[in-house]
Amino acid sequence: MQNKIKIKELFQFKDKTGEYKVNLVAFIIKSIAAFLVVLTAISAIGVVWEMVIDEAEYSGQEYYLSRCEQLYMDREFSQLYDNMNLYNLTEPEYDKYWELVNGYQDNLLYLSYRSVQEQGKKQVDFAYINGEEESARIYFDADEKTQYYGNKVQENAENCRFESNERYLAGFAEK
Amino acid sequence: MECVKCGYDYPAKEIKCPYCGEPNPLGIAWKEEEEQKRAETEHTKRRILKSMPLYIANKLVNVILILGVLLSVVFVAIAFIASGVESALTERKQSQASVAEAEKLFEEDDNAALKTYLKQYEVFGKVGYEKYTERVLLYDEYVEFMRSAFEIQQVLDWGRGEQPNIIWVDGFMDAGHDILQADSYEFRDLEYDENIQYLEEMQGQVSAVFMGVFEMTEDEMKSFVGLPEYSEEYDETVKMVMERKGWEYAE
Repeated sequence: MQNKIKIKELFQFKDKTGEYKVNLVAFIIKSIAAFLVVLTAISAIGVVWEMVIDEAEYSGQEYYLSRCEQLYMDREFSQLYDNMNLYNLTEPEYDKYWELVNGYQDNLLYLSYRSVQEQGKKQVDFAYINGEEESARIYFDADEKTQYYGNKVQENAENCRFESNERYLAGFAEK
Repeated sequence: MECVKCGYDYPAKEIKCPYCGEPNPLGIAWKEEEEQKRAETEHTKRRILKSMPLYIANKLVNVILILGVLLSVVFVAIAFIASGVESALTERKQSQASVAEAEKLFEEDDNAALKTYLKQYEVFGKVGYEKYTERVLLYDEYVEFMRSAFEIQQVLDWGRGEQPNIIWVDGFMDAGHDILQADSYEFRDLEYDENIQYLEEMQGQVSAVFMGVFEMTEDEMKSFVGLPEYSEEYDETVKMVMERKGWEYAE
């Protein structure tokens, strides 16, 4: 009986002056829950804060424009192309960059088709089995495509809208 | 009370007669009782002080849990309201979108602007915009390929003798392989003829770049398309095309 009382006293304390009763088992469970609540709250605040900082520093037209300009100046056309597609930057402010990457793309395709032509392949026509185990076909006329993209590269240089793109587009046309 | 010995009158709480010193049992009993009560009070105080932190901690834990529940309820309410508002805004945007405008961009072959349009008005994948959604999915795959091709071409144009990073060459081959294989959901069951033609044009361009930049033959390409990614033969093909350009292949 005395042991039972001692155990009861261990788990709760009661006094004549008031009722200070704390059930230890319940206290431990509540403490764990409270710890998890505090941890979750701190994590959530941290995440929200970081989101706010990221949004303020790394978004908005000003940021995107300055980023594009930096990539343009560094001739990082791959990242510029990727950036503009990733963030859907198609407003008029980005026309200069689109003119350049589209010109670069036309130039790359022209060089590729021309290289195929120079290898002596006027027409490329072959069948292959694709991933769905079906027969697929590649066909293109290397002469026709070389002519087509060659003309596009020339037109890009002649119709260049932005002065800073002139040297690039003219350079592509000279090739 | 009177002293039993000398008859002196003194307060009952005294433990002895102040005149003759005779012990006063009543006073002694009273003092003992006082001391016992004091001891009990001190003991109780000590126990309270010992348990007070636990008591306070218990109250604090209760407050935290109540606050946690209240904040959760508030958060759920805000999320619910925000979701409703977002739904209403999305519906409004979608009502402002026009198939004619999407068709105009589609015919101009301005796929980047088409993608922006569908995303801006949140009609990507919606009824009535299936053709344009299909095109944008293909365009995304094309961008993946072209981005890597640009990276390699930049090195050839301005690399000053450098070679492209193996990661970019690998990415380039992977993206081209995906387009030629046409095995993923973006390419399957294309419904619209214009998009089937667009895919064929993409495949032609990929082949031209493989054959032009890396001088791959038709047989090499046929074999390459059939290879599973991450296989040894696949890596061997990447190695072969790099060495053909005089670039060092590092695993």
